[in-house]
Amino acid sequence: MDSPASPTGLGTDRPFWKRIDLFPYMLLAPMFVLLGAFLVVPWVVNASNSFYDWKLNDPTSVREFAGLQNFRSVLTDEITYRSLRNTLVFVGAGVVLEVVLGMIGALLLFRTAFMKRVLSTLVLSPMLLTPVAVGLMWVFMWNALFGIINYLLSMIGIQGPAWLADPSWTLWTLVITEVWQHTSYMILILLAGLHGLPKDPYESAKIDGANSWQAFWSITVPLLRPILAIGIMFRLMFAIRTFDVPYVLLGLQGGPDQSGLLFSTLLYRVSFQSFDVGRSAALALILVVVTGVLVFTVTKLVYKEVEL
Amino acid sequence: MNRGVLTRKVTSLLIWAATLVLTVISLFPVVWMILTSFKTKAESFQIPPAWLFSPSLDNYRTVMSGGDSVAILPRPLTFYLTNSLVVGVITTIISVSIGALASYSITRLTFPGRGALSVLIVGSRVLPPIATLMPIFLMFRNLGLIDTRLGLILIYSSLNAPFAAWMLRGFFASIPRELEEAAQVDGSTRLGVLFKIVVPLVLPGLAATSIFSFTLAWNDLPFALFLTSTEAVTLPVVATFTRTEVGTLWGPMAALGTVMIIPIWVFTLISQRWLVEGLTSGSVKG
Repeated sequence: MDSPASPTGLGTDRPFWKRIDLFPYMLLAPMFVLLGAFLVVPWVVNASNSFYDWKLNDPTSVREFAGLQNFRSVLTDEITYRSLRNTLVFVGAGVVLEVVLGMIGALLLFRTAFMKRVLSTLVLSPMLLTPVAVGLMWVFMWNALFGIINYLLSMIGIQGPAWLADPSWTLWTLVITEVWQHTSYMILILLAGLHGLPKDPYESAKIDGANSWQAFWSITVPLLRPILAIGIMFRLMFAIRTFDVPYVLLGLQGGPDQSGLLFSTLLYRVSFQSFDVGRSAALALILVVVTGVLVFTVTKLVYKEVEL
Repeated sequence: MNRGVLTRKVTSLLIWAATLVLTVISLFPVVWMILTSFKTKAESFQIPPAWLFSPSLDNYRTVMSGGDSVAILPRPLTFYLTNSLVVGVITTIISVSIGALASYSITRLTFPGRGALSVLIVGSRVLPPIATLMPIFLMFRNLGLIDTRLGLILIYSSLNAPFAAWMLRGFFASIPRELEEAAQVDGSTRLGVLFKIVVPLVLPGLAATSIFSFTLAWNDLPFALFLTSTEAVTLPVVATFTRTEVGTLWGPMAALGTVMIIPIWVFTLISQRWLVEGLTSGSVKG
């Protein structure tokens, strides 16, 4: 495994492939075998399938070259655009709420004086919970007849909507449920960021007579920008592909009138229900492009120097 | 007491009160689910809600008895629990080992192509796994991996290994280089250095990464829903069975949800510190 330099010199007389130290590559080999088999191959298959007509639920259907037919049919379908629009609202509103609430939560935990560790642990706990379990629980709580949410609202005199049964509320019900679970991630990384901030700028700001509100905007926010950019990037990436909670809350139809249909739900439906290989491949490629463009632009907007 | 001290005390009390509210909101749905799992059918629909009730194990009995006439699950809970545990544990062992080797290589060793390869590993996470469902289904159909635990293990390992490599970077980077060099001078091979010197130093990182990897496999719905039917069905999939044609079976659903969530809760509570370090050191050091 070791290939020490030859004692006679630097080994310049040996061929190129013998001079290369293979050890680092051998450690990386298992990783790239896995990625090759379950990432590269599926994406190559996807790219190829997107140009073919092939439906698995139709026994007479054979894999047949169809040119750009799949893309044409997907891009002229109204439902594609509706699901894209819903996804953008879902992701945009969700991430904005998570950043704002995450910042408030992080500041609260940062400044809490009693039982800080216990409370932090509890507040951060939703992050890793099984999304299916979270989704099922919220379905129970959102129920218009016997759900606890409308009961609590009625106690303060508000008549709650039918949430998951009301087309004008389905998407927002999804947003709230997701924000409940994932704000904890934003709190986690912002709290770590706050603990890593230097003390000096705050002391000089105090001497200059700045109040804590001014200090927050002129010191805390700029210093937290890099970590905020990473947090937003991750949440965007994962929010776009969210499947579990929308599936549990609204099913593959996306609720009444498909009002809460997300792009990932549509992709799953075309794969799993229609077994349309070609269309699902075309949708898969569109999802990658949308993810790439959105994650790249938004992250750059928040913080120019971010690299990953 | 002067005014300044009083204001500070009031502010601090208000902050604490607000934090308590935040804590209640973060815990409420889970606590509500656990309570519901111990209620009878009538109690779970009661409005105003029943806060005090004598706990019943009926829902757990229902999900434990699979296959017979009153059962709602095709098989007893233990069958699905075993699937989830086996898939989760083996996935964790594979993905953390492979991820750790790769992470060590890209953080501690210098070699041509290092930058590009590490970008490839981290960047692979940007591709949405849900978009590969169909090609993987087609692959698995040819390989006979549909509805097998091995199939799920392979998929989850390939998704989690890059994540493990990313999460471990901060832990590997923080080891002093002198330790490795000293061991090498002592005549250890490089693999010996890795296993005898480096691995013991990153154990907290390996523990945090393992918990995370297990959780991701334990939680997954889309792959398990698409690729399994009867034999390799995991807990998240079977939990969705409680939404039936005639309506949702809330009690059994809450019981299944509780079974899924309790291990994750225990894990995160005991390993909070390492988990925070793993999730943030990777991101802070970008």
